[in-house]
Amino acid sequence: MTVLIVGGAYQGKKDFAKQLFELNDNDFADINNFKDIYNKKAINNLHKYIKIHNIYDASEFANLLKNKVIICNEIGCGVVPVEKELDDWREITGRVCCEIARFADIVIRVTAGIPQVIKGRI
Amino acid sequence: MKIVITGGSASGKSAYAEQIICKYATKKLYLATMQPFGKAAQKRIERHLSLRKGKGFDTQECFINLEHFTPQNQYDGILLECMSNLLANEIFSPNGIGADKAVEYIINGIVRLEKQCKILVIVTSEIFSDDEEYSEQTIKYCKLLGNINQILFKISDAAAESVCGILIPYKGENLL
Repeated sequence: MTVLIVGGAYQGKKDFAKQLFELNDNDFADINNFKDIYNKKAINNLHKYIKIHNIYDASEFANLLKNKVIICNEIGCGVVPVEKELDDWREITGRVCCEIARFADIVIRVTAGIPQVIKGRI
Repeated sequence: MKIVITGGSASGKSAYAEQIICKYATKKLYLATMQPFGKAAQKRIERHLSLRKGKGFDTQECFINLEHFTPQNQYDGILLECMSNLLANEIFSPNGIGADKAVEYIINGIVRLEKQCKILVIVTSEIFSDDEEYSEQTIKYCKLLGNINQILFKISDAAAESVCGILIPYKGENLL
């Protein structure tokens, strides 16, 4: 089962994921380690992973994340940055999330600790 | 009838706006507000062009003065994309109306545009959630876009936000 959890920063996304899917800290990939996402059940801060590892192919990358719990900040909801790198990062992060949401069984948006299930059922 | 679709960058809002207008209209105009300056803008424009390809849209541009825009033909549906660019052009470009009058000027343009077609779909943008330290000008711009979005949501028949390519309706769900 693939689960995507999105929302702004500091909204309680990870706590919610841990509670709902009975995950502990060891289940989450180390985002600095490129290969760790293959081995772990869950990944937090997907937007940071995309930046650190220079991900550029949205659909190819999204396909690697099947059957995992994925948490990502909605970084596209601010002012479009002037710097090209930041603009590209926001763009690819948004597209990766659209791709994951397409095949995900469950998509949840967390706002101030309140989950809103926008796809599937929990 | 008017429908407004909002969303962050790369949230799938354009695709939904196109899908909705195609449900209602056969003769369709895409009203582009983004000025093709710089590589990033060019890339976005090309992406939108390829999304629209084969869906039967005519394209016209309107960077400022929406109130004085007249479509070249009669259309059932007009898709305006994107409000964030139109506002930026009115505020920051040399020929724009300026920040003080921009909101009223643009809303008057929207009301007039709606009368020229059966369905008007407006794409706008969520730019309000990063709280970076911006210049006074940029903060003003954010505030005015916030004002415009509030008015648009109020006067539209339906309004929704696209999140990761999933449409979240806020009003008029049956029309989306």
